[in-house]
Amino acid sequence: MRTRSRWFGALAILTILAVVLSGCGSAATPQVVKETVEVVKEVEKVVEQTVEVVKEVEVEVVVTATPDPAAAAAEPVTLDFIFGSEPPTLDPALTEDTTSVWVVEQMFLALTDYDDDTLEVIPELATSWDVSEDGTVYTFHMRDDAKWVQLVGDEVVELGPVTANDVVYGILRTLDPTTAAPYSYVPTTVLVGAEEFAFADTTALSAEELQALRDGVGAKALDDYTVEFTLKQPAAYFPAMTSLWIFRPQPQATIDEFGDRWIEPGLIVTNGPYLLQEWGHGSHLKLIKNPLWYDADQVQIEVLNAPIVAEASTGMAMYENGEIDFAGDPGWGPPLPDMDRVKADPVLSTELAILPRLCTYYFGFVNTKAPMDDELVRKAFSYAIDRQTLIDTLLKGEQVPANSFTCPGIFGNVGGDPEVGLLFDPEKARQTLADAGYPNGEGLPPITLMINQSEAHLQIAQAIQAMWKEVLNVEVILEQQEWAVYLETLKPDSPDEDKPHIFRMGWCADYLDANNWLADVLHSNSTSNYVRFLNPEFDALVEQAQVESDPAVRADLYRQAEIILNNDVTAMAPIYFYTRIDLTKPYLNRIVNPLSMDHVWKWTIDWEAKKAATGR
Amino acid sequence: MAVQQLDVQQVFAERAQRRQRSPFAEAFSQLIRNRVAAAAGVFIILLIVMAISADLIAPYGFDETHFADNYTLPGDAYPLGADYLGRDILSRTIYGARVSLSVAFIAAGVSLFVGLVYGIVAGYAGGWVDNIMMRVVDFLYGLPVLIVVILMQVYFKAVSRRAEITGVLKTLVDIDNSLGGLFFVFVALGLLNWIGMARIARGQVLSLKEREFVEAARAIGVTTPRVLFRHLLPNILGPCIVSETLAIPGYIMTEAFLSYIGLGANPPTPSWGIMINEGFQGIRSYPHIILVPAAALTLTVLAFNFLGDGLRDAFDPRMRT
Repeated sequence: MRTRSRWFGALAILTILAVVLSGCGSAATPQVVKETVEVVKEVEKVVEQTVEVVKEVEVEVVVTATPDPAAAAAEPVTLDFIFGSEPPTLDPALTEDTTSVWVVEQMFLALTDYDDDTLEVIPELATSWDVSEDGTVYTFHMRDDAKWVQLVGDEVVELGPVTANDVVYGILRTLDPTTAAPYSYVPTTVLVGAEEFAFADTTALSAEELQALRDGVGAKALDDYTVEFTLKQPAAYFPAMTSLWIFRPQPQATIDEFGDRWIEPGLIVTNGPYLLQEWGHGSHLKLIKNPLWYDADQVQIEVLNAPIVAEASTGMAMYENGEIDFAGDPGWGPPLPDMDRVKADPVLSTELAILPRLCTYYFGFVNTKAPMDDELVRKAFSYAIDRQTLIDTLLKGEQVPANSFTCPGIFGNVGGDPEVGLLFDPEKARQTLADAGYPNGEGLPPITLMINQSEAHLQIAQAIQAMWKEVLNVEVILEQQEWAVYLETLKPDSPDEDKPHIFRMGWCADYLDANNWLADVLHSNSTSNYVRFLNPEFDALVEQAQVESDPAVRADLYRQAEIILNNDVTAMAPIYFYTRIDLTKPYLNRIVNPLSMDHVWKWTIDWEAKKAATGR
Repeated sequence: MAVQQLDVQQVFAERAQRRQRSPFAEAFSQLIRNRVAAAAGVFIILLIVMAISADLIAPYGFDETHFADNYTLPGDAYPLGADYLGRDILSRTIYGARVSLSVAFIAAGVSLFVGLVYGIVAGYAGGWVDNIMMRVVDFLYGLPVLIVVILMQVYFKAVSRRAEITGVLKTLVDIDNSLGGLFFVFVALGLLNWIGMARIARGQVLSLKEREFVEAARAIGVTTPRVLFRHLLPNILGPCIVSETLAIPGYIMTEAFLSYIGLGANPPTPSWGIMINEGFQGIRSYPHIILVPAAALTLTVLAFNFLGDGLRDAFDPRMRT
């Protein structure tokens, strides 16, 4: 998933006070216009986090005390937290960033899910699944007690069972070229017929031809509760892929009736543990427990109450004031400058947890834009980044310098492999830039580095800008854009001339295989290939890895691909592997995993302790 | 009789002497009697000197990083502390004065010049010319300055990313980069803030052009441009300068605001707005990072306001004692 990197809202209060005092007609009478423009604005920030796989958190989901019914009615068990940005969508088909994923995870069930501890794929909507002998046909058997539910006002309306047809409709809608789903590339690498359908030219095809393509996709409902997927090649990670939002059942009747508006409160039809009650765009979201969910009696937290707060420092203040129960995804962890204080503080340090998170922070070069089309220039810029200093002095969250794109914890990763990647080497950086024809940076045209608006990104970008200046003697122009505009600028089919030379981006694991990184992001056809890395040799390797069944051979193919990506071509400069940096109040039992797929319905709050701590 | 005559002569002589002092000299003597305004003036002069000699007095370069020393509290090595990249806050604040003051004076200069010329011509011409010119002003008055500035910044930043730009655009972009990304802030502020000035100048000219000294000048055949700029301009300059001085805090705040939201100066140009933005995130752990540029900005804005108020009083004959 794309890391929620947000930009932040600018709140501008503009007061224009114009006082015109006009005097009488005497020559020296002053006539004064007083104009004061007063501007107050607040900025954003971002903290991104985490990596790695091993985590020992005891999962205790047993709800013991049942609150007195009268008291509960008056005061439901409420989880208070914040979102760091407005979720761009709540439509599973259109979801691509971490904030939307987080909310979708609470509202929509998938066939499968991840175990928080082991990250193994476990059943959710599916009770079990069978694989054909050749590994290309997956049959999922679904539970029959999941229901579509709509929340109208305070009334919970049941709208029938969740069936295999809903699953098939979901994936077909995601793939449909008219939906223009940002993640449509992902299933095309595995599902039969998906590529043909997703990349069909709708203007050139008749309705019948399009329908034929739709019917050709390897997703079929065998009966009401059995769904079958046919793959192009065996893919052991396929059950993990079905946990993604794009494979989730979607309510066809509602979508047909309301179109784009179907995700609004009052209209949206969901099937998960929580229901959307309020969505004040740009202001807050409120979710309430779904009483009709099959495991509803296991869910303790009844209300999720979350304003949208664009600044990490504001989030930190709210946490320290006891207004929110945790600081971390989908909101903000502690701001970078507060890390030292948090670690030294006797209370905050006990509430701090630094855990793995499967994401990589990288600077992409637009490989098709001069002078970044010269691999020597790209290498020089990558050699000149002192990743360890960045982490030690600025990030301070136990991040690890990245030598590869795929992060540790993912099958096929080569994180830490000394033969992969370019590490900080100022001498080589200068030499390489000279070899490219720009000794001491002379003759290099102005280079633009673009980031999405966020305090943390700006700090990291300025640090690296200073490193490039010091090592390469290159003045890089730093530019910021708001997140949605930023994604539009970087889209593979946007004109290169509008793109920056270098940009920041992050990628987080959707499933634990390097295919999710090297193929889903960097294959020439990928809709996430922002770096415009178009390398037939690389494409061939990742395609070969898709059909290869021997894990050792696959791992080696991915290693070769990483070497092309980072060493030979240097299409990007990976910066660091994330960690997940969270503050959690002691009364909240919060179970997290390195994928940031939080299962809030498994969390518990010691409600009495929270009331005592917050004075409710 | 003789004694009386002497008195009359003396009175006239005194009056003549007083007239010899220009309105500006008169105003200046008024101004320095106003202690707050005088102090503000001195502060601004010191600020200007500091900005001009930043290279000599700043202990470090504005973009000189010392990663190992980041977040250092004020002390021997860094008199006012170091920021998150280990850059000296004192040095950046000193260089930041350059940004704020150049925005202030360039925007004020452009707006004063354009507004005066436009207002004088409109007011003096009168009739339909005046009518059309002032309707143009009314129209421009409806444009929100901030939004226009933001659009210009966004547009020219997009233009500057294009590798193949040539000609005038290339020149503009080069100028912009050499000014740390502030060129179009200057341009937009100057171009949109003259309208207030034009109204003041026109109002003044309307009230003056029927006066005897203008009639007299015209009667003896003085050319129109000479009437405008020799006879009318000096008489309206005072109030216009007062008004412009009072507008300067607005320019400074606008630049700081734009830089704060990332649409003004390009980092690492040390605009106070950028520095405040950078300090904001760490405000709970390292308040010194935001305090220094915020204090500098506040004091500068305050000084220009006090100076403007002082100038207004100084030019006001009714305030004279």
